[in-house]
Amino acid sequence: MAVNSLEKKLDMLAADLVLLSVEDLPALARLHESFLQLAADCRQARPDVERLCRECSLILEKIVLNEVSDRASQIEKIGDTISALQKMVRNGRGGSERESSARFNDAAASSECSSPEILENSKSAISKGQQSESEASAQGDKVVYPPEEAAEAAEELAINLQNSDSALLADFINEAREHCAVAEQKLMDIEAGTDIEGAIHAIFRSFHTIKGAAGFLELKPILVLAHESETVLDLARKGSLTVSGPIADIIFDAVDTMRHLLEGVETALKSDGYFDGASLTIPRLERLRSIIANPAQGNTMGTSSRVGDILIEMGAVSQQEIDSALSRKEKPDEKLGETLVRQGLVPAKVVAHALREQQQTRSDKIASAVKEMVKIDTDRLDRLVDTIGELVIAESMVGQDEEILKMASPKIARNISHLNKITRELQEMGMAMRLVPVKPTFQKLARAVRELTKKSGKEVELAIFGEETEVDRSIVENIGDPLMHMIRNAVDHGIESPEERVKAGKNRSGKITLRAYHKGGNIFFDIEDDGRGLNKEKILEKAREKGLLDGERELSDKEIFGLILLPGFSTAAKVTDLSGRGVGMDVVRKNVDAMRGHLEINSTPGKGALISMKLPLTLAIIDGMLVKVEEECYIIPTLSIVESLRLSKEMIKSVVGRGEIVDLRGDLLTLIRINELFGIPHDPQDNRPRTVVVVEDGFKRVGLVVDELLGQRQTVIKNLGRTFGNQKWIAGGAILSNGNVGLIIDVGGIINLASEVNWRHKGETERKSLAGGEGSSALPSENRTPVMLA
Amino acid sequence: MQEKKRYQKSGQNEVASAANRAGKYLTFRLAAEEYGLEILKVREIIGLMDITKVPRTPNHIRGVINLRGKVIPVLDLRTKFGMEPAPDTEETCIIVVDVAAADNSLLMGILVDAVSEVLDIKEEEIEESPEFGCDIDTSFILGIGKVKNSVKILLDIDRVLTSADLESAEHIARESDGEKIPSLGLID
Repeated sequence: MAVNSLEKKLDMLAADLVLLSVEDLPALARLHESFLQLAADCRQARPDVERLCRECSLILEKIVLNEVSDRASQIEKIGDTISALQKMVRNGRGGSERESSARFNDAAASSECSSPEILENSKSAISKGQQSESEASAQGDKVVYPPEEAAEAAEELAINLQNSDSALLADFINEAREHCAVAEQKLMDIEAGTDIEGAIHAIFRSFHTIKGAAGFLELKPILVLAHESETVLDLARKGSLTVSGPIADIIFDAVDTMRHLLEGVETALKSDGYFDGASLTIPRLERLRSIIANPAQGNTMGTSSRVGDILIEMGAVSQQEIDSALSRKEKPDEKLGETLVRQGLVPAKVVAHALREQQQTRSDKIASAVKEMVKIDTDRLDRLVDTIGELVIAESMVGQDEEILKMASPKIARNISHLNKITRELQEMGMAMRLVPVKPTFQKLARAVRELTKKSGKEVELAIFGEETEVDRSIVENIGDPLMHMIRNAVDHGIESPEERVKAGKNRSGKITLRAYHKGGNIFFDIEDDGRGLNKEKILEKAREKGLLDGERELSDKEIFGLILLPGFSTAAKVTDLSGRGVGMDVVRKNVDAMRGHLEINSTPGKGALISMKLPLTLAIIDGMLVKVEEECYIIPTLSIVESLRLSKEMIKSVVGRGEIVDLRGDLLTLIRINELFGIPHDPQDNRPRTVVVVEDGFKRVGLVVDELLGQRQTVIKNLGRTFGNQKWIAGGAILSNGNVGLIIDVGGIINLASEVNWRHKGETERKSLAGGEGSSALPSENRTPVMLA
Repeated sequence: MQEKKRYQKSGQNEVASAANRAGKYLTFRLAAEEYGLEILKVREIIGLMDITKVPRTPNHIRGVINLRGKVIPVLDLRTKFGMEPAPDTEETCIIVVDVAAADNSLLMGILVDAVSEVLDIKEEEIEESPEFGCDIDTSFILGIGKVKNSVKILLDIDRVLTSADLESAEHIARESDGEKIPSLGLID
């Protein structure tokens, strides 16, 4: 880090400190964070500065945790340290380690310190100047939390919130949840092997922040758990532990437990304010402590070997040379660079270059990670987007106003087009604000696979593509469950056991591919596995057994696979812990339907299965075709439209009086006359040529007869509310450009409605004819679940 | 019944004042009759605008309107009360009311012939709704206000709209649903 920026940061810290109020906990916490940050920043360049910063952060931690009696004097001490630091940095090339220690001692001694323990701690840490920084900070940690105290704390793991500030607690819970999410995400990064060091630091920080706040709020179980996890991570930070396999499991588990504890606190907050976290916490604590006591369980990990990686990349050394250099270290804490230089393997200049590069990548990462964010209430965001929608409509109403058009004034036209541009930009921004990447959702799935694999005893590898794909917030909220079900199915039913796989000539470990991508204005989620695939015979057998199907008609592959989406359908012989209750795919279908999406299943026996989920980009906006029926306008979602064509009389074939079908290139298509179905007054003698919009819902295909197509529109979907909640054929309302409400047709709903109306109006035989859209179809008997496939 | 209603009101809403029905009422005309609505329930009054019909709903549901971006249902009170339908006039307007539904409140428009005035009706001017015999349900009537020789029928709008209306909407919907067909039950 350049001396200049270091100086600037120190100045800023000093300013913060001057403005600091001792009671202001968040500010203290921020300052604490800044010191840690600074310490991390000058880890390489200025170990002396780093150490002093860590000392300051320790003191702050104690202040936050209320472990010192006289806060003011401690703050003063930090102030002195900062001025000592400033001097050190200004003096240029850096005072020697010893000099800075002396300064710190002076500074500390000159201040009135009522807590001799801390001073002693700081001094003792400094006196061990030769020790590496992390050991020093670990030393500090141990002083903060002597093991006896932690043990004592474990005995009183009950929380009593009766006297707590509920608003503060609620804030804490939210914040802590976020930290848990970050920690989890970083753990996944570690598992994936990307930026291990950074990830460990991030997890450490998350636990650390939780610990601080929990200490302040007197949430003992959370405090203790966070503390022990932090200690384990600290070991990892120092390199005496490798975060992988069992250790990662334990940390995952700690994050989960943390979540449960937070949940417990939340419930306690709503009820009697009492929550006993002991049962949850104690087993975890024991495990964590056993690791802390014996870190040698894990193998050593060279956190600084990344310099080695860079050197290898630069071609300066080979892996063997580095390995041998590592084995010939003179002192355990000697830096790799030093070793290499000492052994004359690499010139010092090259090492320095590598170090610079290392720092560069680090600061880049920090810069990219810290984007300024504002948290907004989602209600407000939705309201903003709604209002923008209104603005767009109002704008088009003005722009297309006949009076204004009549004036034909170039100035007005220019102003209106200007307004138009601005509203359009606003609309785009509003939409973009609702977009979030699917990454967190995918990460949860990756984690689920990890756990499922362990439970099922199978070996599964998950490949994720397109996690940066952005989708609407409402979709992200709804996509989790369906994806989870499908992943479970893939692991439980799809992937075979390793032995079976080997027998079939496949890799031992199965592969599941999860993909998210945009295509043609829709977003797709694909889940592909290379397992045994779907068993067509079994599905058909099961369907017949359950009475979901009769008739001997040949079904196409697509239709057969579609059967597994039916409620209560499961081909699994036994219900396992993971899946097989037959609710999975049904839930998936319901969720996907609710999002106006489509599911497609493809499978090759023995090769695997591919489930593709097609969803609209957003649930708030619908791309629809505005159609006119007599005097009314309706909107048909473009997603469901297959094609549209002019309807001439010759095409229509009447079936037994009322059912009408057309022959569409060999396929028979049932016609639904919207005006008749909706009871819109019309002249039956009217023989105007009409238009058929061919729509599709799942495998059902029908033709909707309308008067004319008015064009494609993007409209904001509005909920019609519960008054019309039972009108399944209405997907919602949309505000049209004239300010009126247009009704959006739910294709699935209208098909059901039409079939039902005909059903009731006609006898058994006629019903058959209506159903016989594309040839013979399996017809249900009266009281069975009717399933008819096209 | 009335006693219970009053009791609930005083418990829930102090503004509705001292355990009685006295207070400000928005009065409106429907054919030859005058009605009153508690002013606290009224959100706004808007002139007649284009109403989008929603097919397959009961006749007294005129359709939906766009109230500054919110889609709200509009109920034709004439039809609802079984009166002869009349053509819309200049005076016809929509009163937007806040209806207490089961879990939250719901905005709804009611179409009336004309809005008259806001009246302060005292407790002594309000009489219990008369019994017309068991065939006629008067539970949606809070009472009858007698002001300056005229009679105002004071409506309990929550009952007018939620109970009877939503029920009938659901009833119609159920009827049209017929035998429940699951979403995959298909025909083509």
